[in-house]
Amino acid sequence: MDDEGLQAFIDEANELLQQMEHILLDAENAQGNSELLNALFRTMHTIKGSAGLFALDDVVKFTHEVENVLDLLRNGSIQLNEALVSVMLRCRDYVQSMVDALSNAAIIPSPEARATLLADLQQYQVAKTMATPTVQAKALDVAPLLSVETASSWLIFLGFGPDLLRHGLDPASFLRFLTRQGQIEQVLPLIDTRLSTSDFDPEQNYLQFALRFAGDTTAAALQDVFEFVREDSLILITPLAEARDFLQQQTEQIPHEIWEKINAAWVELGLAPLPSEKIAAVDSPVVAHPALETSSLAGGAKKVKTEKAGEATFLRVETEKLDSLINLVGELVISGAAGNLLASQNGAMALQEWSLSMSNLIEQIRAGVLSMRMAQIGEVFQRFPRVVRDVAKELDKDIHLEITGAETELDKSMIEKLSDPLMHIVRNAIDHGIESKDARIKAGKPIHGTVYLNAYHESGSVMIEVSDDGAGLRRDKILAKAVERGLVSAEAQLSEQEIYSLIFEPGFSTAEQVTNLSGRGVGMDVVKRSIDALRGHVMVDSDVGVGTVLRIRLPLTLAIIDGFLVRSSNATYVVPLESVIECIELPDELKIDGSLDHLNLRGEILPLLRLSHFLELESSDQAIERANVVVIRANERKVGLVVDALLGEFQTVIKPLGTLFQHLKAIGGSTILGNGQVALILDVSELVQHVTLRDAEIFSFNHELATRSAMHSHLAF
Amino acid sequence: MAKTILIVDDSSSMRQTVGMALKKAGYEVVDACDGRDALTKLDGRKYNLIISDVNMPNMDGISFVKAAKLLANYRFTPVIMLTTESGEALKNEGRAAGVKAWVVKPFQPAQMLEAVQKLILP
Amino acid sequence: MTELILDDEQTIYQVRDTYLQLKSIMNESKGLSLSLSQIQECDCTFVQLLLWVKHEAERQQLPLQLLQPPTALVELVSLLGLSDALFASNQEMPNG
Repeated sequence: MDDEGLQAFIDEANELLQQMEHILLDAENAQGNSELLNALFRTMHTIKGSAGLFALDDVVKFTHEVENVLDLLRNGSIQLNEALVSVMLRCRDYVQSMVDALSNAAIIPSPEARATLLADLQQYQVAKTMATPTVQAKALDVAPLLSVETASSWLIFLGFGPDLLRHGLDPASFLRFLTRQGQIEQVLPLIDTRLSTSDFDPEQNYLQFALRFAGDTTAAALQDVFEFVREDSLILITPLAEARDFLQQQTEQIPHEIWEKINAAWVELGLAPLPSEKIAAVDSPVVAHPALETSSLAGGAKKVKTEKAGEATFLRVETEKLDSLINLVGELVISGAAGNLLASQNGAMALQEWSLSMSNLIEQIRAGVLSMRMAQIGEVFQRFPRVVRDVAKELDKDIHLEITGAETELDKSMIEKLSDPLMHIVRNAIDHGIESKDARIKAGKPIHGTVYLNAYHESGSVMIEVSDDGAGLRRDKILAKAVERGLVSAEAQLSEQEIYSLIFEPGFSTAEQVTNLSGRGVGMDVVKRSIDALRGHVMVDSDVGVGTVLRIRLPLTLAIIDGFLVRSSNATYVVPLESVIECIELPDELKIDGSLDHLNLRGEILPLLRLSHFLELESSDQAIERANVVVIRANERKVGLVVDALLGEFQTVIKPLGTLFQHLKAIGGSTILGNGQVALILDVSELVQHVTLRDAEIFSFNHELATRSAMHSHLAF
Repeated sequence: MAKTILIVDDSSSMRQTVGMALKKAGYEVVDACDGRDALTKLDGRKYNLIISDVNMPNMDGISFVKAAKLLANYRFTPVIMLTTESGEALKNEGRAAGVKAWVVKPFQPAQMLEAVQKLILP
Repeated sequence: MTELILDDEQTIYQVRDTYLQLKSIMNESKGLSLSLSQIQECDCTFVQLLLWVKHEAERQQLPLQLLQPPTALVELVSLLGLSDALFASNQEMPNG
């Protein structure tokens, strides 16, 4: 339909979804309030109805399921408990994503979320299916009538009921509509004799009709014309060739008098007289049958096909298949890169052009395949309204949850692994972050605290923020506790960030009172480890009295990275491009080998890490002459990585290291280069952390210890 | 003489889209956002057909049709009621109120147009 | 012979009144001439009413004229297969 109409639908749907959320979040009020429950039902009902106008089948099918459950709710079959509220909120969000997708092509509602929700909804509907089999029965009832056989010559009997006209239904309208499918060859009006009696009622219907109709159509299509009158009328439709058999079958169902009338009328319209009168007539239907069967089969197949086309919007694919495809695409990327290299070495113009268009295609395939793995973070976020409600209740806090950026996409496998750490962070925010009601009143803050979940894309990464408007982190408290626990020395001079990051140290807990929600057993260190495992980073920012923000930076996918190739001591290494800020030449005065040195980068002190030294490789003097510095960043800290040569950008597929090498923290994985060589992927965050610790130790009292540790812990610090 | 249709539905996008399709086909269209609103539009104007949703705020479709059928000017006006498959009990109530034509939501504008044309031509 | 000019709208909403009017005319007069030319809108109830009038006239042996049926009515009657019954045998032929 037109854009204007669609926009009206989007606006309306947004309004209704908002309304739905409103009612759901005030579930206690809604339960038992039939008006509110009906309004809740209507939100989905209306969206479904309007979506149908625009042939938005996905929306229709989904909202239909939700509507069914809301219907059970409003008629009291089920209760609006917390579990249902949670399911409904997630359904709401999913419908929202489908509506958003209409105006933003970048939004792709997650099929997994849909499947999960449909399964959840199904549970509520089990009782219903057993309670009201009428719908099913009715469909079956109609089925035999809806023959899909095509024929071109038909006999029709329209036994309109007496009240037809009073209901505003005019036989003439149906006859006119019938002519859309063909031609009424002959019409035989059958006037009820009561018309000519003294008790004639001018508002009553006395007209019935027998028709001979010509048109290449089906009985179902013809029956459909009379769908509104079928309830009060006797409508018979049959191909002329089968009319005799058809009419014989009706002898039981139709009163004899009427049957006689129909028979007489149809005979007048060309039906062969009764078999008892003319036995020869039996032959013809038998001959006609094979032909009819074929056409029926063809018609049937056609119908099934159209139905399938309408449903095939989603395809369920095994994750394994997709993973193996992604792996192959990874190989394709590598092989494509090798081809590129060869083409540029070869120098032939045509070859280079081909190679260029080839890599273009490969890039598109890569993006396409990866997008199949992408899912919306909303899948995880959706679980939180419930968690927040539960936790807030348990702690007697009044907490609002605000979710933004739920449509942000990242690798499906990461989404699953994010659930637990995020859950812990959110619980932590409610438990430790947001003050008690009394404390909030004293601080002049609104009595309800707010937890924000936000996700967005930023330069090739996904950022997830969990923030609260609670008390904020007290640096002095954290530091004191860290010293008490022996995590840092009392004299250590730590930056703001360094102090905050102490909360991720194993065994650290700032809560004065341990509750049963967080701070027992698992601490923030577990969160950090989970995020690290996803090649992500976590940072904390806080303002005392204002709140705390926890930022998680994650790569978009685990499968392929844009890498930056460097060489050190004749081996090639890959630095994830997202962490590379810039490359500079190593100043001459720093070219002498040394493990501890710094560079003045535009007034900023940049700690250097010499890769060959760090990895304890033999460095060639020649390479040192032309050493370069790759400025890398992780956790808001910069480090200059000193390498022998820069080889440029390269897309790489990450191959995990074997278990034997997994304890090597500085190495994140391996990859195969276009020329077949293996290159190790450097774990930038570990490198940066190493440098940070190294420097911290240097500046702290025990210089000797630091030097020793730096020398012995290169590969397994 | 163009036939006039009264559309009663609380969804504005429904009214707009169906209304547009019907106007395009040559019908005149008047709309109302719920049963109560629709009753105020039954002011003597002639309607050849009423299309009404069932579930609406303020006054539902069944109550509206019952009320309309009591008015001399509208007692024979055909009604197309918009419903869902799940509303079998409701359908019986509608039948009692004199509703014979049901269109199952969701539908596309063309389907509605076809249902209308079975009952009245423009 | 009583002449009656029917109004523009002859649907189920008017049919009872028209019926009562025709009934009383046929009971009192010696014949009926119906002018149909004003009719703009009519439905099956009106066609039925004409069938009744025709039958009633025959029963009472009253002369009956159905004059100047408009195209809409002629088409409707034809669609219902009642042209012969209403217009063909005697009286006025439709003038389109």
